[in-house]
Amino acid sequence: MQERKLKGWAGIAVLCGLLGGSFPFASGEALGAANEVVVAGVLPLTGTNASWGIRNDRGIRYVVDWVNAHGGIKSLKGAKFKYVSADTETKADVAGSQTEKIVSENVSCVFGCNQSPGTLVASQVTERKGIPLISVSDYDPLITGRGFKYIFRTVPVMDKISTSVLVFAHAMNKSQDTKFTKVGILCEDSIVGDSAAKALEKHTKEMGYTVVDVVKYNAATTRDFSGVLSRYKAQGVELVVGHNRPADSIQIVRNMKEIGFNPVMIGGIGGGWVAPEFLRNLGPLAEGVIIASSETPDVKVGRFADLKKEYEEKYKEEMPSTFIGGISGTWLLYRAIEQCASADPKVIAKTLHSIEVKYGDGFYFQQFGCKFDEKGDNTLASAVIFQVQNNLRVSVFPAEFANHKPIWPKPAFK
Amino acid sequence: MSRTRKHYYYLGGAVILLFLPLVMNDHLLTVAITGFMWAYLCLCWNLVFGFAGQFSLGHALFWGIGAYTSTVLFVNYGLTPWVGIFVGGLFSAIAAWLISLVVLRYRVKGVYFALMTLAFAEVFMGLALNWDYIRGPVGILLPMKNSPGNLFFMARAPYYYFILGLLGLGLGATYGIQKSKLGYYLKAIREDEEAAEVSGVPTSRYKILAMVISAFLTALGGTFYAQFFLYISPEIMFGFSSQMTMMIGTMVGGAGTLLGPVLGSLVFSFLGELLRSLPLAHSRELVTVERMIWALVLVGVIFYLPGGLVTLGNRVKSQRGKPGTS
Amino acid sequence: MFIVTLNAIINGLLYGSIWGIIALGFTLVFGVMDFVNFAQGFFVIVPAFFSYFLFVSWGIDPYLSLLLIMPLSFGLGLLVYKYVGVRLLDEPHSAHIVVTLGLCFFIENLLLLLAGGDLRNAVTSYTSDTIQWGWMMMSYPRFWASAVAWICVFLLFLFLKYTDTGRSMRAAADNREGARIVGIHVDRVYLVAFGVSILIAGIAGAVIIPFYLISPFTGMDFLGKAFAAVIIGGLGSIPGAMIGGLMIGVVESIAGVFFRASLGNAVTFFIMILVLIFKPNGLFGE
Repeated sequence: MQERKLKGWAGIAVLCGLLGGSFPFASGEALGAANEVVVAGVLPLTGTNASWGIRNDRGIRYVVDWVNAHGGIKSLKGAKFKYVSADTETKADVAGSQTEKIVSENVSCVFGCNQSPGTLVASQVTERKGIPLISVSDYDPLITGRGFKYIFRTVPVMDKISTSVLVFAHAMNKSQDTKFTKVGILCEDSIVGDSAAKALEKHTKEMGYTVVDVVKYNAATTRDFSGVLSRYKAQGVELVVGHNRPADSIQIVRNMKEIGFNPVMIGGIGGGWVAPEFLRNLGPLAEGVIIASSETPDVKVGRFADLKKEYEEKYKEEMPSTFIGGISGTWLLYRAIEQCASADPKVIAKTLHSIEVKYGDGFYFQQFGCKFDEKGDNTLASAVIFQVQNNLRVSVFPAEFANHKPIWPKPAFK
Repeated sequence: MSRTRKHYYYLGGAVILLFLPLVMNDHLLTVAITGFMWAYLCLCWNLVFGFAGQFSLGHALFWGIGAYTSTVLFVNYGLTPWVGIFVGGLFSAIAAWLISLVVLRYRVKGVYFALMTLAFAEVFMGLALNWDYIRGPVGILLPMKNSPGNLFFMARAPYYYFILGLLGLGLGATYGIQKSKLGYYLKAIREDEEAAEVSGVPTSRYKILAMVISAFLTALGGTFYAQFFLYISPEIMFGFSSQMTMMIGTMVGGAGTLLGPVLGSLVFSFLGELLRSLPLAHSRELVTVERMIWALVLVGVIFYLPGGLVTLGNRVKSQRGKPGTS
Repeated sequence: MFIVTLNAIINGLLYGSIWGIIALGFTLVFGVMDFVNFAQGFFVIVPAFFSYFLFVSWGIDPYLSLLLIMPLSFGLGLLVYKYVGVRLLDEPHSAHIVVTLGLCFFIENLLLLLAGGDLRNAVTSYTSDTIQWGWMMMSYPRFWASAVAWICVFLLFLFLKYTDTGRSMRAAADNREGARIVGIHVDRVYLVAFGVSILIAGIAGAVIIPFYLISPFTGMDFLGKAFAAVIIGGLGSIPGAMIGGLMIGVVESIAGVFFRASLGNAVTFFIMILVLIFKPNGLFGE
């Protein structure tokens, strides 16, 4: 008797699920209607990477709204963008299942996932279905290393970005006639952190500098870096470099001050170093910190400055790199669709492989423009170095592009 | 009600399940596959918690061992996961056996046992993160291709049938244990361990057996996860999140029963998916509120429906058949 | 290098005092009423967020906010006991764990809704200050946080030893039925014990917000530390909780200096396993 009722409940649960799953079709939403191009964002809107995902989402929405307000997609007779978003909850498997759901809704292109494992899993789905996936923030080399035809990444691979801090240090050594060559690498143990550490170690050696130590710590459980940094201090490390998440980058700088460690350079690579929390929580302590990223906060190109003001007024925070990523990626897509005059994902993918978008065009603000190779890597993607000076981030390297002179060595903590 | 009528219901249900792939699109299939996978894992955890009365907080360990064993064997040595899955199960069973020996030898019980199993899972995760042979924190990416001989499929339906098979295995194992001598003794142990021991029941042996069987089956689920999601990392496989899912499904559905874990797990999976597909769910605030409601539901069920959802069918709330730990 | 190690140990002791005080709240409730409160970590971060909020809105220093946080936390503890704790007293530990985990989940998402997922920290004027005495260098806010923690421990000790309620608590911890027979209002004692436990958590939350970055997800981290401390020191033992906390703090600090930092956590849990095996009641357990 009890078992029968059970079966009944189980059956109801399954039916609910099926009904629930078919809601998009039943609800009458005209998805993929004739005058609409559906794009989707599979992003972490909750969970530990939520702060990246939310800002990326803002970026996509911004350009989508802009295009729709300015006559839509002209080559498609003014068709408008329709943006659908899904939350990955910063979990790789949820990223996968949400992508599955999204691609069953007639989508032309997907943006994702502000989390390398998530992007890896999601791209499997999009590749199987032949829908382009554009990543504007994930540095992991694996993402474009699988021979996929529908994956596109606008930011540089970790290799390129991480070397830029060392290249900067070398340039400073030469121009200021200093010889600071002892490198201490400190990265979190995520996929990106690991590839950063490897790339940094390799390039340090190639440059003839000394790798004093490489430490990869478990980001989930490490809260204090005094131990590691004390060791670096005792070992005479001069250049501290690494890829770390927000909490860690803040803590690293704080701990350095606490133990009286004043390295010549603190070189942060993307991640937490470019997050708004960094400056907000460190204030004057951050003075002189060097940061490598694929977006700079003070460029003088196109409508960047106006956009920056607009963002800061609306959201009361610095315009972050993930927002810039979001707008750049969406603009890129817009250009591609204008060019191929089609909402067919396969056609769009082909166009993405051939298109070239200039730096500063419309809303494309990731250095230095975009042109994909057959693996999906952006051959024009470069890292730039900026430095915190007077509580502002300013670009300092490469020289021909910089707006300010770099301070070298880093001023001591007060 | 006659047994034949009950059997007809089961047969009908089974037939529906078998034919579902014909009417479901890929997305729904994925939802079903994921849902059944967790239902299966809840059944596995139930063997230890519901039947043997041991509160294991470290079951992710066995799940992870299964996934990593078959994956590493495949990626490094080309061993087909059809075989690798059993090797994973074996390793997991051995781990369970060793842990049980330690636990029983030193008489670790109750919340201490729970924390000990959790500690083992955490230690393993720490080791895995530092072990380059299994790629450490970077994790392992499995190839996406159609290779049935290696348990890889481009279509979703084969995975569906595979997990259905596992689910059947889980149900069969649970049913078999329920009706067997092992089940009988486990019930005695769970009701009152000291009394059972005094009456001569070899409690240690049966507790170990339950743990080993559970670990073996959980590991099979781990390999399935790897073959389906195609990416594993120490954080995913040994982290606490999978443990939470196993626990919540089982406890809400009804620990110690045959269908309870399945029911609890499916309700969570499918209703969650339902909420996610409402147009409003695109707003992340609503997702967060939804989760808060889940938490309250969980607490509510524990308080007001102590036997789990399976007891909803009962008018009379009989004894609180909740397995205890000393 | 020697000095580096010494300073690392000191830093570890400072952190350890905090882990200890969090573990203390947990162990108090376990010792007195056999209740496993998995949500202890969250009772630390909720006041932490509140203190942060007071700081950024009105510039109230976290230590000053203690005046408000202490009574609020105590009250919260009473409420939680009345509506949740009391119903679970006769249930097995597994039920406690699942319900308090549900509570964790609820609070985590509530905080996410109210405060967002970003990390927060009260950046006070003294957040990055250091104290220097010869070769000793320690963080100013961490020093004061530990000091407050130890003051709490001392006050708790006095409370348990010299007040009626405190003594009743110890009696109830030893033998519930016996205590009842003797005329002790066991329920009231439990109520107070729970309140004190959450009060301690609240104090911890307020004093760490100047230097510790908190997000809604930090609650679980604290839980892990609390456990390990409590297991090592002995479930139900107050000095044990503090010693356990200190040990964890030092082990993790040293691990950072000498080994790869990611092993710190694994080492802590490994020690926990060893303790559970060889001294299951902890180093100081009853």
